[in-house]
Amino acid sequence: MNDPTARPALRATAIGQRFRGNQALHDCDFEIPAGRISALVGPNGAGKSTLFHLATGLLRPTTGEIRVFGALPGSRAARARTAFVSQDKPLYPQFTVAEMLSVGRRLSPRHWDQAKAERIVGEGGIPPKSRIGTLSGGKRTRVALALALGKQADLLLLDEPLADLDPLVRHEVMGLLMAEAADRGITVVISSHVLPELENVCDHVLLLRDGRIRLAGDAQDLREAHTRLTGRADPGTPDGLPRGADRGAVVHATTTGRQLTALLRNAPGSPLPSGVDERWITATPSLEELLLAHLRSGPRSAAHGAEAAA
Amino acid sequence: MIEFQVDRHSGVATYLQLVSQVKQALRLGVLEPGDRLPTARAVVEATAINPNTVLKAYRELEREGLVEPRPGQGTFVTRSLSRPEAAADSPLRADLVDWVTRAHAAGLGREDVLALVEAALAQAAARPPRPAGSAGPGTQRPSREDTT
Amino acid sequence: MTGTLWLAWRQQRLLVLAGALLVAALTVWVALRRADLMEAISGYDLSQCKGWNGECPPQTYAAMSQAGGGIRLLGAIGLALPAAIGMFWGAPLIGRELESGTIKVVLTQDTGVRGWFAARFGLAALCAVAVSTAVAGLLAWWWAPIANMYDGVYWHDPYILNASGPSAVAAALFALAAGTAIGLLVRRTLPAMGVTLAAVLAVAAVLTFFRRDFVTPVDRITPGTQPKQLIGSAWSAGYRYLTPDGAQHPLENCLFSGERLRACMDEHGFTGRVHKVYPSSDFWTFQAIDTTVYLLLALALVTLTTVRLRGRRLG
Repeated sequence: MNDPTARPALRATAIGQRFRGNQALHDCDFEIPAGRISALVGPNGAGKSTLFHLATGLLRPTTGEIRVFGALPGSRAARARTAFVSQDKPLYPQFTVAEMLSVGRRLSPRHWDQAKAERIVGEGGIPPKSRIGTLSGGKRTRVALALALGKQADLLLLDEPLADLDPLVRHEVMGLLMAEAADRGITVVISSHVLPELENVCDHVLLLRDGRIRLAGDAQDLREAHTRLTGRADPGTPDGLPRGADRGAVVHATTTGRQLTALLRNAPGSPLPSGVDERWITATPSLEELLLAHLRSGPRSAAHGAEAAA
Repeated sequence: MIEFQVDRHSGVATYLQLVSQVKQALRLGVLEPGDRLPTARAVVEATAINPNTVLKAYRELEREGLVEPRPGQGTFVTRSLSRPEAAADSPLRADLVDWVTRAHAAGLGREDVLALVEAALAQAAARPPRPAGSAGPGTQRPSREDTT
Repeated sequence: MTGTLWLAWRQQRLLVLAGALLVAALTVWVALRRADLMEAISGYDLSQCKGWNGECPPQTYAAMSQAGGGIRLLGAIGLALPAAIGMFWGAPLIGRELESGTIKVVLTQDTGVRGWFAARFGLAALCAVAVSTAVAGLLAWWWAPIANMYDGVYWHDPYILNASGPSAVAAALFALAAGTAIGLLVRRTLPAMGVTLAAVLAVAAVLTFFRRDFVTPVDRITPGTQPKQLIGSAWSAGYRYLTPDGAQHPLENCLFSGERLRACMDEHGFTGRVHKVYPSSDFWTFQAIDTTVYLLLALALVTLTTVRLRGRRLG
C-alpha cells in the first residue's frame, strides 16, 4: 500500500464543475498518492466539498475525468474502496446508533468490521440504543466516523471531520484516524480550514482556492521548496525585500515597522531563494505558515474582482 | 514503555522530538535493551500524528543503532544510553544537585542556571578533548528541521 | 439487495403500519355497515329499483340512503388516497434523503443507487398497490348490492368511477411515482409535497374533463315530441335535436317544454330528439382509459427518476 510505484488513490485530469452557470472548479489536475494522509485546504467555498462529491461519484464532473484507484467514482469497484464522511455528517435522526451501524453492515457487507465500528462508538461513551437525534454534534461525528471506518475502505474521504468537536475530542478522533491509517495503510484525505490541526497529521497537501489548485505535493518537499525570511526591511527598495531577490518568487510579504517577514519560493536546485544573503534570517516554514502564505497571496483580489463582476 | 509527548509549537520537527524522547528514556534508564517500543499505531492513537512520522523516527533510531525492528514483533531497544554516572545516586549527580542548590541560594533563577550550564558546556567543548569517552553516542546533529 | 430492503423497511415501517391500520379499520367498518345494509334489504325484490326512475320497496329507502352516505365517505377516502400516498410516501422517498444529505451516506456504500432505489420504491409501490386495492375492493363490495339504484351512488359518480376498479390502483401508483420524481427534482420534502398534490389533482382534473372525448356516447332517438326514453343507469351526455337529414343540432335552439317546445321544433324543422348517453357498460371503457394514462405516466416518471439518479447531482 505504501509502494511509491502504486497507482495514485485519486487522479483528477482537467476536471471542471459548473453549477447553474457558476464555475465551482476550473481545470483541476492532481494526484493523491496512495497510503498517504492528504490535507485538502482552502477557504470556505473554494470547492473542497465539490471535489469530495466528485471523488465519491455523488457528482459527475462537467469536464475532465476523475479516477479512484483507476475506477470511475460511483462504480461498483470504486464504491467498495471508498468511504466518505460529508461535512454535515448526515445520519437518520430516528435511527438508534446500532441501527445506523446496521446501515453500514448491511449495505457494505464486503469488508465491514462490526467490532471496530462498535468500539469506536463505545469509546465515545455512546450507548448503542440511543437515538441519533438525541446525540450531540460531537457524538454524531463519532457515529459517522464509525460508519466510515467500519467499512474498511482503502480511501477515506473526510470533509471537515473535526469542525464541531471540542479540542479534547478532536485529539481523540484524530488519534483514531491515525491509528486506522497505521493499521491498514489506507489513504486519507482530510479537508479543513483549521490549519494547525493538520500540521502533524498530513504529509501531502492540496491547496484549493477559487476552484483552482494552488499548491499540491508532498508536505515536506513543499516546505523545503520555500523559505521564510525575516529581517530588517531593505530601505533601498519600495517593498523592503533584498534588491536582488526574485519578486516572482514572493508568495507573501508583510512589513511591520522596520521588520519584514516574507515567504518565498526557493531558487531551483537551491535551499534558498535567489538574491537572499546572510543578513537575513532564513528558515524552513512550517506547513501552517506555508499554507497561510499561499492563502493570503496575490491573485485573491483579482479573483474577488471577478466574483463581483459575475 | 515510553509515552511520547508532541509539542506542536516547539519548532522542532515531530520525528526528531520522538527520537530525542527515546534517547532521553534510554539515558534515564526508562528504556532498557530488550524493551519493545510502542507500535506506531499505539503512538499515533495517543498523539494524533501521522504514522509515517513515527516510522521515520524509528528508522532514524535504527540507523543510529539504538533499536532494531523484528518482523512481526515490533521494534526493540538494542543498546542503552544510560550511564551509571547519571543515575540518581551517582556522585556526579549529587555534586550537581549541590551546585544547583548553591546557585539558587546565590539568587540565580532557572534561566540563569541553564545559561551557565550552556556556557560551561561551550567552554569545555572549546578545549581539546580529554582522552576518555567524551563524545557520547547520539550527539545531536544540526538539522534543517531543527530551525522550524 | 437484502440490505437495501432492510433499510427500506426500517424507514417505511411506520407508513406500512399506518396503511395496514387504515385498511384494517376500513374493513371492519365496511363489513359492519354492509351487514346492516344486507339485513335491511334482504327479502325485498330490488329488480325494479335500478336507475333514476327505479321503484324501490319503500321499506328499504332508509337503509339504502344510509349506505349511500357511507359509500360516498369511503369513496372520498379512496379519492384522496392517491394524493396522500404521493405526498406522504412518494415525496419524502428521495426528497428527504436529499434534504437531510443522508443520500450521501447510502450511495457511498457497496450497494449501488439502482438496488437502493429499487428496494425503497418497490416496497412503497407494493404497499401503495395493496392499500389502494383494498380500499377500491371494499368500496366495490359495499356498493355492489345497491349499485346504480334510485337516488343512490351511480357508476359514473367519481366515488365509484375514480375510487374503485383498477384505475384507482393505477392512480395510487402514479401518485407515488410523481411524488418520488418531484422529491428528487425539488430536493426538499415540504415543497415537493405541495407540488405533488398539485400534480395529482391536475392529472385527475384533466382526466375528468377529457376522458369522455375518447368515448362516443350512444344516441337514444325519440321521434317527434313523444316522451323520452328514461335515463336508467346511463350517464347523460346531453341532448340534441334531429332534422330529417340526420344532422344533430344543439339543445340551445329550443330551450322550452310543452307547447312552446313543439312550436319551436316545428319552426326549426326538428323531427326528433337525441339523448346522448354512456351506458353503464362504459364504466370499463373509462376505467381502461384512466388506468392506461396513469400507468404510462407512472412508468415515465419512474424512468425519469432512475435516469436522474444515475445522472448524479446528489451531493
